[in-house]
Amino acid sequence: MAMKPHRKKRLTAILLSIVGIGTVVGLVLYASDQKMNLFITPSEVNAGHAPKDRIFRIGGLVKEGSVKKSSTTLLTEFIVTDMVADVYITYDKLMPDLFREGQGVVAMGRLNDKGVFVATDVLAKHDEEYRAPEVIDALERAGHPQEAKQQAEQLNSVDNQNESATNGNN
Amino acid sequence: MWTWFYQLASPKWFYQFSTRLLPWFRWITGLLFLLGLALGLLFSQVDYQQGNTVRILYIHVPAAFMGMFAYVVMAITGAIGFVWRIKMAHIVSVSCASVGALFTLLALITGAVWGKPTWGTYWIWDARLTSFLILFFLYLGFMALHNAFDDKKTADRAAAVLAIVGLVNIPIIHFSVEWWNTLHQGATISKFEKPSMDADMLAALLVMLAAYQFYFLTALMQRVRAEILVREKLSGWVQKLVTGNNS
Amino acid sequence: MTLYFQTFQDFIDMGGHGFFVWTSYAFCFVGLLGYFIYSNNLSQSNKKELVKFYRKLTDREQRLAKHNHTNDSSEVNE
Repeated sequence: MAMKPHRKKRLTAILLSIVGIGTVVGLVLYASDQKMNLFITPSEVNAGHAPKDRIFRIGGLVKEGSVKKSSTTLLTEFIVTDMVADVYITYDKLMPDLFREGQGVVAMGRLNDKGVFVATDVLAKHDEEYRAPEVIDALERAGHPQEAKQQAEQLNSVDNQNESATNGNN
Repeated sequence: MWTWFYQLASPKWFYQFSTRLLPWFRWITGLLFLLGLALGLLFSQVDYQQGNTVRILYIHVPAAFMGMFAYVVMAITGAIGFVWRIKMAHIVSVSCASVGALFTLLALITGAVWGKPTWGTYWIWDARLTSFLILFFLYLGFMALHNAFDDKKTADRAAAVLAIVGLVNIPIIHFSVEWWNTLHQGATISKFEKPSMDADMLAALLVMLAAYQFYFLTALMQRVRAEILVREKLSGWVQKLVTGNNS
Repeated sequence: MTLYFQTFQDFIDMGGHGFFVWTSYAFCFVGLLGYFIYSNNLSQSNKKELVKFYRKLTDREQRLAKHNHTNDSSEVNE
């Protein structure tokens, strides 16, 4: 299709501005990569990347068998893990419905002197898997523990996030 | 192919063509919604973690997808109108805005109501939710900018530029869950992998997606027709159509 | 293909999450249906506006024509 010069000019202007704006936005986002993250991982906390004396969010999986609930108060203690590092968390309010062992969680709070994360707010994170209860049962009976598969997947994604985080720091 | 394109670009031809098409689209939309609601609310399984709240997915995910889809249509038709000065392209672009804003708002509302029982909060400023809120403001900005000019041609072009610039937000929304740590989970359906969802849930979701798509086409057509009448009021065929005579 | 819920009460209750499920569906229903009706009525209201617009247009044309006509006839009379 033959295009008239003035139209070609307008089209080029549009395409160039899209590329230009895209580049600028990309660079800005790349520069503010850390700020765009909602939470940091236990590995980053253990590596000393956690902000001192300031509230921040930490995210990961609730470690299997780590949840201890007080029988008298709402206090819950658990470990959040990214399969590389663990962080102890305490929380003294009602947990969200989806809080369970092996599932994702995002906690807001700060580290105390002993390196325990005292949470003021805990949110449940869920993954992109949508499965019927029977399907999960069947999978487990057939010897494909869903948890193990999910944790392996989560581990991969957490690894990727760590890589990108360290790249961002460099 | 090109004659068809030129016909589509003629407001008169589009108006007459859509008069015949519209009843069909309304029926298809209604039937798809009935089927989708039956599958989603009555026949699909619950999620092993979330229980019945997973049923919000069938109205939330299509709304979010269509909010982004309508924006892409708005920006592309805006760009076509800007470069080739095609009247119909601008009419379609302008008509997309309010439907798209509606989808985006519905995605935000249903997402908030879904977030409370699953995450434990209605809202959080993570990358996905924030970039999606920006999409809603882009729609509002587009409509406000278009209303700010008395001259329709200037308004069309200014709004088209805003739509094109705002297009960078679409990939940001899509990849936000991969690029950054977010509370929002990753994509369930992607082109290259098997969807991580059971078949009965997937069926309900796909039917609802089709229903939303046809709703979009129907609502868009209705808006485009209304816009054509106003913009073409000085041409003979509109006058004949409205008053019923040639005078 | 089997119905998930045993009773109507179960369906309303949604396993204790009825409030959230039905609130979001209500928002969606009102939003989509409301916009559908609004965009459908838009053509009708625009047509009514245009009827007024054309009436004004023809009135003015007729007045102009009348004006011209009286001028014409006076010229003829002279």
